Amino acid sequence: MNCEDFNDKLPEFLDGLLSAPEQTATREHLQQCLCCQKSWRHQAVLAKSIRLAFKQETDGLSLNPETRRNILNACNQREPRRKASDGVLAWLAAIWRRSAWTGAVLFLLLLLIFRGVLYDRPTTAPALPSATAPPRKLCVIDVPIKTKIHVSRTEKNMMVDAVIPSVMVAQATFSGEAKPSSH
Amino acid sequence: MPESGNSGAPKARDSFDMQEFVALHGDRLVRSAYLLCGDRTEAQDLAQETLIQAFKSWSRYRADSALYTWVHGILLNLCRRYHRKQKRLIYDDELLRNESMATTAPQSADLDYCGRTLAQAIRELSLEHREAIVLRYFDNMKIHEIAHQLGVSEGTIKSRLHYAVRHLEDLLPRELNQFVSDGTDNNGLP
Repeated sequence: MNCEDFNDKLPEFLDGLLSAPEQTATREHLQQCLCCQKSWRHQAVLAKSIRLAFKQETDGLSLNPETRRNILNACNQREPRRKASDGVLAWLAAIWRRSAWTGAVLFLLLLLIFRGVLYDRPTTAPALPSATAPPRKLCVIDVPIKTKIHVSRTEKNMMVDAVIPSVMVAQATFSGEAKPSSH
Repeated sequence: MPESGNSGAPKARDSFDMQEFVALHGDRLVRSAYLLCGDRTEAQDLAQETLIQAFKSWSRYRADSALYTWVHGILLNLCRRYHRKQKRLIYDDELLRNESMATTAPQSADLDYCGRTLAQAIRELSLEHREAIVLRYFDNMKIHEIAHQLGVSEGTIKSRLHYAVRHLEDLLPRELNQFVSDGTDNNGLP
């Protein structure tokens, strides 16, 4: 054992928590090494002085009678007993506490459940033409849309200009009677 | 050890006898609270809140540690909350100066003064270092118990204790030497 090992094991040595071989090795090192003897003695003395300081500082301090009464009054209202459900609840609570994944999985599940509500629009079947509604007429509009739209937008702090050469009409609604094309 | 009063391995109990617990550990708990928060009045409040909270949430006690250790864990959480609140308060510099003068003025050069000075130095430690020192030297917990209680590794606890003790030595070399050399030194090897 070297001095570094000794210093590392010193707290356990002082607590008597080392195994028998470790305890023997530590004691042998301590008897041979003057430097570690000094360190050990210093630690022991320091620990004793800190304990004494704590004792002096807290001597005479006790739970006030009023505080004691408050505690007992609060606790005398109902004596808690272990219930059968406590075991199950505690088990669930332990899972909840220990597994950060539980939260993540629940979140994902909720996201999947509500995704349809949030993002998917309800798809409704096209209404069948009723007998009373006027028959639909198919109209062809031969109006070429020739335009150039100049757009500009900011992208990464730079102005980007673009010209859109053509426009496609995706959906249009017309009202009134369609007239046949003259040409 | 904190198990004093709860001798032997911790056992699952069917009820929490608060009267018995207060009689056995009440004073110790309030002293520990005082060392952690540094205020006697606040220590009473913290101990009261700790015990009432422990009683209410007693069904969560799993008996994998001593009852006192579990209750002390609640106290640690409440002390941390107390310190967070204190940080938000605007502290009067003048008050701080007066307090420190009142507690550190050399009234006498005896052991009592050295003990008080050391206690004052301990109060000046950061909360993390103070927790480690109090659990180690007041509650007499072992390194692995402190690590379990604070939820950190044993190496971290050793490191915190090392720096806390070094800080105390830096603050109080002369007083500490006077304090510890008065018959408390132990020259005999184990």
